[in-house]
Amino acid sequence: MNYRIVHTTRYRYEAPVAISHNEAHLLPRSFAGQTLTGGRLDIQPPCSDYRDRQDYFGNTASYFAILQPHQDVTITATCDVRLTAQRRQLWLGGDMDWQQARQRLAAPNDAELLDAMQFCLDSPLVRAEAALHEYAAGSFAPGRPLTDAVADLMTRIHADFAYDPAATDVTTPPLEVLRRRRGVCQDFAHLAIGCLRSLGLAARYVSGYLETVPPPGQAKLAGADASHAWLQVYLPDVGWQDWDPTNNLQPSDRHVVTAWGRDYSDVPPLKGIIYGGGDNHTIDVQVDVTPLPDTPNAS
Amino acid sequence: MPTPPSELAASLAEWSGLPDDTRHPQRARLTQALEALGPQALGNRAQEARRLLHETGTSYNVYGMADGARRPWTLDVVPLLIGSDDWAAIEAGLAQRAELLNLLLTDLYGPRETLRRGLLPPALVFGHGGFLRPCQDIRLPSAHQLPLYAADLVRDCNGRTWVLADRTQSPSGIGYALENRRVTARVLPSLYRDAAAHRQEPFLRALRGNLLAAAPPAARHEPSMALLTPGPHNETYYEQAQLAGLLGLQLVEGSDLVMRGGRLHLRALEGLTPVDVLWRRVDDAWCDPLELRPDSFLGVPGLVEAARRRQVSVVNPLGSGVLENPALGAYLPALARYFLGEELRLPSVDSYWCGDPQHLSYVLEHLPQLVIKRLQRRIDERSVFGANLSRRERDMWRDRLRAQPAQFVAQTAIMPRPAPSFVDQQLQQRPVLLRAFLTAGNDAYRVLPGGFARTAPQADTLFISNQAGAMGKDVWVLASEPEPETMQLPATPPAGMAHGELPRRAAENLFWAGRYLERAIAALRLLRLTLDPLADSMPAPWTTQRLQALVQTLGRLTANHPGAATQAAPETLPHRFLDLLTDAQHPGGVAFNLQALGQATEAVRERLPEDALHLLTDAPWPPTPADPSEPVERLAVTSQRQLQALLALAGALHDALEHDTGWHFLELGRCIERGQNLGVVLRSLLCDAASPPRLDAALAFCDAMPAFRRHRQQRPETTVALELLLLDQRQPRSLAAQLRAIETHLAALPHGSDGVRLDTAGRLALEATSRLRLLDLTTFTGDQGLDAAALDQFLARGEYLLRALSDTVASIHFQTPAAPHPLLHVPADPP
Repeated sequence: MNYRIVHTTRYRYEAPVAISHNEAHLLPRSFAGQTLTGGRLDIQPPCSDYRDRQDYFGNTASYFAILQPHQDVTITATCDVRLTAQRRQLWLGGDMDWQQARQRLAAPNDAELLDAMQFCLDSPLVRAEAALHEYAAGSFAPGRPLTDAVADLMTRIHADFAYDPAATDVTTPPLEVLRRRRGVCQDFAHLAIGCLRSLGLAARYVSGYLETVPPPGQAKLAGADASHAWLQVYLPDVGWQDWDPTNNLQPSDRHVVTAWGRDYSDVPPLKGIIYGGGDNHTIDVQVDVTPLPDTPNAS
Repeated sequence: MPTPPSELAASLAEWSGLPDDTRHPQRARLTQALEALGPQALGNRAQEARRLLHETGTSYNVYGMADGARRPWTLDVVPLLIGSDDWAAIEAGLAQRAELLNLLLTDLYGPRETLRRGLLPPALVFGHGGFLRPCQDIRLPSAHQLPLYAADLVRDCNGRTWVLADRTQSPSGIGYALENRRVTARVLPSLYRDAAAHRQEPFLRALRGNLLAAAPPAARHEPSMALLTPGPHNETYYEQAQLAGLLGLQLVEGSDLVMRGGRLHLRALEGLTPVDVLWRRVDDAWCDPLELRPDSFLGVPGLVEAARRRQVSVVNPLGSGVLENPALGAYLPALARYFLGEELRLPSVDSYWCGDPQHLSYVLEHLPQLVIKRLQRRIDERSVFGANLSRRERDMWRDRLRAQPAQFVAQTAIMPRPAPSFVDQQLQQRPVLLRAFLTAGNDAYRVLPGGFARTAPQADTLFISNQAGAMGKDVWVLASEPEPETMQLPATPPAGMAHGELPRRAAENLFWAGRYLERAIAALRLLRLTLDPLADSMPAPWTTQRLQALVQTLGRLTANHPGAATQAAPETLPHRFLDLLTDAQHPGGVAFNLQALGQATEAVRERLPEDALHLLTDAPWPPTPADPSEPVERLAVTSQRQLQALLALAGALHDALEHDTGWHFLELGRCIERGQNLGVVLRSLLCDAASPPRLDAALAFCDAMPAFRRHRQQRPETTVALELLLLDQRQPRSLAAQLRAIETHLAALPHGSDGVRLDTAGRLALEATSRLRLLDLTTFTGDQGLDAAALDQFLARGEYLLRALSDTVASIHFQTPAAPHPLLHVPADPP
């Protein structure tokens, strides 16, 4: 599948902002199964200093500064992404039981395991709390294959938790989400990550997009899509598997990955430090994920 | 109990590990000399040391105490003597350790081979809060990545030296080491001469050289360097100001700096000037709110990005806190073999990381012999000594360690070997801790000879910390042969350092120091005037109109301080006046202004002349609690002492401060304040419709009485008085003198970025001056006597102009953008 993603963020400030320094994780990364065929950020008012770099996790991080006074800023990311079926193929051979996986991660003896093991540890927003372990234990019977157990956990989260954008914000800890039994995709991803880490497993946060399909007979509304979040679980000898607890499915060719990290705080789509701006500002986000016709060289 | 001389001799030999006396006649002489002094003489030397430290205001801020809890630096005058052979071994061990940590840092933010090869448990690094992923690609251009390194050393009773802790971010203490040396050498001069202790200057020169060597290649020709301080409230601010001065670095706070075009800049008065090397005394996580802690106000947004682009060299590099991990010690021997092919010379105290199950079980079993530390140091948490815990507490700790093993480290508790110390007026044995400093750029590490020692206040303590009241102690590394005299550091920094640039914050503080200084002087002068009649005829009849006028004026001058309220009962006047001197809560009072003066001067202390600093340290404020029995006499004495101290300070600033831009700001602040105060006082004393003009008081306030007496015969008294108060430029307190000075200082200021507003300041000054020049005094002195209303109108306009001028100067030169703050985050929404 090919997609064009247009992600527009508009900040409006109460008072003029003199300077702003920003970091964006808006340009999707490329990896086996996904290729960024074109991507750019448009920033209005124009920025004075712009640089893309590969961050610690290999994501594209864009730094920019706006040095002219402004009260309104719009950042538009326009990206073309090609997804291939390759991600699906990674699934073969996933029958290792979860305790074996934990053991392998506890004694990382190759570069990939070493990299994976850091996603077993607590991160700024996700701690492996005892309550999470307790919740997760129901899905992780001794000897159960990891993939099975994770699938079961996803199903349970999907069933037990209500989607409610008013219940949480970006800093709500997973424990709180567990208590309230509600949240948004990001909360469910954090919750699942916390559950897996409490078992000694490696899980990472994925920020990206999901193409939405309008109800039959209705036209798709512009800007109706949104950024999305899910998680990946590491399966030794196989690799990272995607899981989407919000939709209780295994992402394949409708999930576009932008970036991954230990949790949201490693890869927020946009963060910034502003001088001025008053006490309040508003944010308006619009996302469109549009399928593009296959190009001749697409697989 | 005083230590008998023979024991003292033995213990000196013990710490330093020197061979017996006969082979080291020099040490024997020192020992004998110390013995010969005796407690009485040592007591005198200690007192002299306190005086010297007090004089320079050497201090240490204690966290968690009321605002302004600055603890004077206390010194144990008996130096720690270390033989040169002994020191050579420690030095070699330190240098090896610094090299090792330097290589480890490069590996951890690079290939991480050490983790891949199993030399370090990955969770020890990945799980440490000091491992900052945004710092992955930061490299200094110099060969060494840790230009500065410090280690806390302890020697056990068997004479073995251990490293207790590594300091790799921004070690403090070099300045205190210099201070300890300066004072100890002065109070024990002949001993110091005999000891021929290794000198400290070469280390400072090397440090500066290494800061230069760390500069980005593009700026190597003339790098500009700054020292980033968390601000005057930081525990070691004194030292930061001192080192900035010594090394010729601009002392800056985060708000003085801004990132532009990928480069770090100083907000100087003349505009933005680049900063190439930033020696930061701010911990890693607080240095950049964009990529590190978003709630930090101490750093600069974008600093990590600038460092990554190698447009600025942050020393030590951001992320180096990953090495401040007490559990690393357990793995250093293997790392030394891997990186250097050598055995580790200077071991860490035995360390057990509880994240390793084997270590954990050892720790649970041996808790009473161990010290528990967090993997990452927290300012609000002390190490826990297993020996000091009750059985119940130990069980609690065991549960805690089992619950979160990876967060904790245990180390063997070592009783530091004592050294002779002068504590509580006696020579006694006290445990000591040594902090050693190393620096490197492109060449090998160089060690500060001796470093800086701390003496525990109690004999049996394992815990030695400045925050807990330890004393400083000089360390003498005894030279085997006399060292050649080395040149002192040049007093003026070499060209190219951003020293001439005045940061906006410094300009602002100097300007306000000038204003607070004059404001306090004015209130004290007026208070003195008010006390005169009060003292003469106690109990003074409150009905005395003159007194009432003076109290009213005092009220206006002190922004209606309750101490000068005219409605309250007259008998309470002296007590209420004392409030003016002691109550720092109400703005406008003397105490408040003095406190504000102290804050403004503290923020620019590295720019102030030494004499001014002495005067500020010795300042007679806040006054000692009032004795209610004799308030008037006390008031007179206290206010007079304060006034004299302020006048002396004004003199010291005027005489010794370089007449640069900063001085112009200080003087501008003083003149504006004086002009405004004059307006307030004259309007109150001369223009109050309800009471007759008090010419004598106004003249006395302005020190113009002698001149008035000389000239009073020539013309009507009112005309002569007004001429002296307003028009006569020869009168230092006249309005004309202030306005002339204001024009001079204004003209000397750099042109702000905004020429339009600069013209505004000039226009305001010009209007004030012109109105005065065009003034015809006869307007005010008609046949009816003084026309109070006309004078009041004239003075009110003058006051307005000066206030507007002050605001304009502030908006042109001081205004910095509001503090940076983070943007809100957008939650991801599921479709």
